[in-house]
Amino acid sequence: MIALTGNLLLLFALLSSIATLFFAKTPAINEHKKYKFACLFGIFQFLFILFSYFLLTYGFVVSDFSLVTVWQNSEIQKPLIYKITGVWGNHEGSMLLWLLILSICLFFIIKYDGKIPKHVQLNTIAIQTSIIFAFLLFILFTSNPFALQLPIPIDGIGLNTLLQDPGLIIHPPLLYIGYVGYSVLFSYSVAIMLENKLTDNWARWIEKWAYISWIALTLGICIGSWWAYYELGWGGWWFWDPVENASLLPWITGTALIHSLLNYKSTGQHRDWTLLLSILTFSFSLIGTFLVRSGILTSVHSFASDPQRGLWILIILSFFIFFSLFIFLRNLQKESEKKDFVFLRRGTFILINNYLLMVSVVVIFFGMMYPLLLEAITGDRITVGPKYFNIVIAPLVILIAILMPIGPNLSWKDNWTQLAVKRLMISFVITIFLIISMQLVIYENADAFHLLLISLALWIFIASIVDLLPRNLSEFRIEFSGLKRKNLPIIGSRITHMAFGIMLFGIIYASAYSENKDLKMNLGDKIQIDRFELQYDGFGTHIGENYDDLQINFSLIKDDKKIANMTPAKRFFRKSGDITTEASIQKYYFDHMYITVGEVQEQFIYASVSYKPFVRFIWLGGFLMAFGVLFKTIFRSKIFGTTNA
Amino acid sequence: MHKKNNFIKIFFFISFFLFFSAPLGHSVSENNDGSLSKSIMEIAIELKCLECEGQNVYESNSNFSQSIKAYISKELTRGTDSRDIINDLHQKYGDEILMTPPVQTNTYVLWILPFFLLSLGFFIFFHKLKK
Repeated sequence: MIALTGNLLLLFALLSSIATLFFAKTPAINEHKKYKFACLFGIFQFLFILFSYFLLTYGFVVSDFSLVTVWQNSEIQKPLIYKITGVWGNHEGSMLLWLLILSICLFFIIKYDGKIPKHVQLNTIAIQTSIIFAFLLFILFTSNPFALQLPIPIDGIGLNTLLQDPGLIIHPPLLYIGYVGYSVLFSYSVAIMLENKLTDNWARWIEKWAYISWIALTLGICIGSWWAYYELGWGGWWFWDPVENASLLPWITGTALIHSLLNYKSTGQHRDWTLLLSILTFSFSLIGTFLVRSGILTSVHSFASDPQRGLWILIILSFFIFFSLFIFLRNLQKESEKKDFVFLRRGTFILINNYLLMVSVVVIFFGMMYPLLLEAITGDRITVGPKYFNIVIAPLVILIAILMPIGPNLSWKDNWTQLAVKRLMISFVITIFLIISMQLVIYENADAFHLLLISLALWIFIASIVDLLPRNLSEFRIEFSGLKRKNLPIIGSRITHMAFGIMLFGIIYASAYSENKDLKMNLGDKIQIDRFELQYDGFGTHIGENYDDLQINFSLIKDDKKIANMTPAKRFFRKSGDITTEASIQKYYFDHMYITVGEVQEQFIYASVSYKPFVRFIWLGGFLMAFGVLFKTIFRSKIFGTTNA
Repeated sequence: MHKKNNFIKIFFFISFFLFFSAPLGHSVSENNDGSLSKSIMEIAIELKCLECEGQNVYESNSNFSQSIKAYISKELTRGTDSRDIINDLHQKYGDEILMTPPVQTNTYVLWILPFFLLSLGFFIFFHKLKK
């Protein structure tokens, strides 16, 4: 019953999208009616897809094993929360979620972007609908979540045990909101390019989408990294794994896009480049999906892959990428305005930022694909691991970090101001002072390279704060005169820059000064790690809802005082028999003590213990970055909401 | 009644673990200061687990990684240099086992491209600035 209804709903959604496309493009009726009908059927698409999504969730909740997807990825005993969120823990369900978010975006375009001229709006709806249409076909033909099977099995196979974790609840939806949010930018950009005459306000139309998608993608990546950190049990937070890279690429182009939009809004320059960036960002979202779902790149968290699906996504992505690039090239504006290239202007720094970010994109993408290319051409097999990426990305990050605080201090139009010099000098002096005192107090001998990187992180952090302090100086009011609230979005972007500094600090500090020990420990053994002692106290058990834990008890001791109990565990899932390693993480200010346990015997255990100073800065920085942009988004819309034409 | 059931469960559970958990562990060396295991880690992290998808030997617990770790441990106790151990494994399993690609004919492009792009940027920048 669920299967039939689900298929029907998807079919209706498909028909509605055909209807939307028809009404958006038909020459037979006038524009007003076209718009009305296109919107109507657009909302129908959204509703049908929403219902089908609820239906699949219902199928998971009541454990309807006549659905192949439910049977393969669920079981009766599974906790309810994982039944609901398990919908996106598999290929079919996650594609439906992807589709749902696409249609939610369509809904928002129809509902809330009413101030945009009707013909642009109509084109945007048509393009967004065609993306939905393509993915509906994909789902119906290769990944139908409502596929039926008979006879009905008694119990399901169960969800991959690594996925039965709170991380699953929010990580994929956020990531998908990010990926798919960029589809709106894509649709608008193509629609804007289809306009023959110049439209001026478009940067403001798409700005909020650029921010929202970026926020979601940032949070998604952060949570994913946090999840890998505590669930995979290796204590790493970034592995340069293909799936991670696939999410990083649109993030980087999305970051470049935000900056380029600012540039365009203020100077009116680089229109084409900005539009190309928004096309590229969504293209990278699609390419990432393609690479992961097709199984072309293997990764620790790949889905069950299927070449046929890969082919479909390849067709979809080639179509949209070539289509948009074709329109882009056709509408490329002959750069008529004479651009004067002045070094100390904000616009120039944004160009440099964009160049560096695009080089990182090319380098990461090339590094991902190179082994495949090489094997296809010569048959040689090589591995491109994390170290390669670290080596080639480091110089780029260093350059970005040096320039990052300078750019925002410059003016869009005028030359170098006295105030900017003063601020940067103050920041520079404070940074040097801090790094020297830190060096004296904490670590006597750090190597020069890490010291340089840490100073750069501090430099970003301090310069962003210093930049915020003298906001009321009369000189600065000239540039930002008018609305006083206009300063609020600037605070948002400084928070984001500052947060990047915090994250960088965490990344470098934790990688340079972590202490890591693999040990065999007997009962009652004490080991010394950093300023702490760790004592092994034996093991106990814990009965969970669908698993049993063998907990290993440790006491964390500092200055002969016990400060915490730590219980890493071996988790045994009753149904599948899978055993996962659960790390135990104890926070100490911004540091982490991280324990995982390998072999457990009656007399001894093998434990892997790490002390990671300032590791929490990584996620703190990540979340703060998202917060900064959120802040900016909220106040931006308040300012421009009324003046936006 | 319920409590007793739990007790039996726990008992079986622990016995099960003690029995089966052996092959799961890291094959860490026996000396207690962790120095040997640290050098094993340093080597193992440079090697790719050829049986797995995108994991290095240190992180993985597959048969392949277990045997490589055991091999490294054996060689280290015999006093072989880390560099030589990696070279031996490289000889035996080919380029693929190295997590970081060696700089050689078929990877020149891979290594040069990033730095080429960066210098290109510098070049364009200073060229424009002169104008």
